[in-house]
Amino acid sequence: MAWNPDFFSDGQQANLLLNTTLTNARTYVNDLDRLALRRGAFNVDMTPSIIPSGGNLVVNHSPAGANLHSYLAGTFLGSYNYTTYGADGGSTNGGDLGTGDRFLLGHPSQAGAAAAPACSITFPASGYKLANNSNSGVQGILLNANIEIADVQDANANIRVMFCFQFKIDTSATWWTIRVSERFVSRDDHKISATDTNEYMWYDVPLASLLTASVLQAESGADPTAVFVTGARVMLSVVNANAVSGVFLNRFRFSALPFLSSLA
Amino acid sequence: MSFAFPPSKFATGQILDTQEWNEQLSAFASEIDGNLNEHNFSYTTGPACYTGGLCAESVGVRAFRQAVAVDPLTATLTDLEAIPQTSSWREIAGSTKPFGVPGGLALVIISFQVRNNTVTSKSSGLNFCIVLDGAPQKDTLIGSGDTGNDYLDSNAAGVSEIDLASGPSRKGRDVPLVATGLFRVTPGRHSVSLAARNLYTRADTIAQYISNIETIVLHMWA
Repeated sequence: MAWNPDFFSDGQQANLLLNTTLTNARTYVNDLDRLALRRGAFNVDMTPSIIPSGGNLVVNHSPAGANLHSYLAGTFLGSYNYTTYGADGGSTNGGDLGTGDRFLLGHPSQAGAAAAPACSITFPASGYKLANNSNSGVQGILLNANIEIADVQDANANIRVMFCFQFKIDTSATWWTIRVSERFVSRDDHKISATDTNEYMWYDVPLASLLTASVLQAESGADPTAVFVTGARVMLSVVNANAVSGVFLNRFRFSALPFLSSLA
Repeated sequence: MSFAFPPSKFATGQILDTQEWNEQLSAFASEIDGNLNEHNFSYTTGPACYTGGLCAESVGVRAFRQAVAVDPLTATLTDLEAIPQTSSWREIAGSTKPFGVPGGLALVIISFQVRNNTVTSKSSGLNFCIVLDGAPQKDTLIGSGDTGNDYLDSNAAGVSEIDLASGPSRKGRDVPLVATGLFRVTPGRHSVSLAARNLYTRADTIAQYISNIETIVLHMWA
């Protein structure tokens, strides 16, 4: 509540009222409540802002698509060539995605294709704890990505394409998938007319997810009060890719926005 | 702003008038009753307030999240949320998130996967939008078609179906979508959800589903 000082009146004994007033002032200042603060007082950069950091990765290729980013079997790299789902991300439900190969978006690229930064963001310092009363104050990390697909080549009509977010914690080398963020795209050609062989439509894959303490615990099993989130990334899974069948991207953008908050 | 106190100092031997003292006191009270800002705190105060929970509920962002994780590829159809075969808005189960806020702006993000399991040729124009407190927010509409210019009914005279097998209205078997909206909300309880409608182009029903719905509400002071 607001502080209402005891004002002096003529004839009052000064020393007693002065001491009382100053004592009350000290008590109030040492226990300030919200009414004492101007709204937005902490939403500035003097202290850690409500958005302590953020990451942004952009690939913006030629509008003509001359330098598409290619994800074919020949571009697999060992470190991202997961043959199973589960611990390394992806659905724990088997199905026919069990032989999926995963790419970190932006990496790798086949020879001659456009270079791009790895679609992975490392958070500053030791990262962020997401639990209540954590030492970072961050309670959520908003992840957003938009990916423009130029084409999905599917020579054998059995390719499967999926995008998802993953995160990493400081106590493990594993990148954990946020399963609810998994997004599948059709291998079907997107055309204005089924009979037109030239009118391919590029299309977008939007991804959005909120990484919270409960998500961290559900996906990694780790205690969110004990671990730090150190990074986030966007993954692409292509099942049954080969030398000609794969995914061709034009642009993508990935952002990670940690923010100080209360979490309901 | 940084507070300079007292506004004027008393000189030695000056007879203290109560009015002067009260003015000094009023200046002090005015400053700390609602006007403290970033200049009044040490560098370490901000994080201490947030982490101690003293201010987190009244400043910054308040986040609400609702998610239903279903593997859209391997799940049985009963695990997915069916898109209603109706041209009126119908809320999708599993997408609803109630939230209570002290007023301000609410950024709503609903991310979801659409899956057309059985479509082989013709299909529907699907629409989605955010529902706030039971009212569809039509300015958040995404999807293909609207009742104004794209409503096609194969049973209607003179209307032909779009070949949606590879047409833009179908947009493939699997489609990821994100609906977003920024709303000014009043203090109190609110609720957001995702609604769908199906501008059907066929007389028979078509199985189309939503899965992996994640509803995010970020409340911000503004």
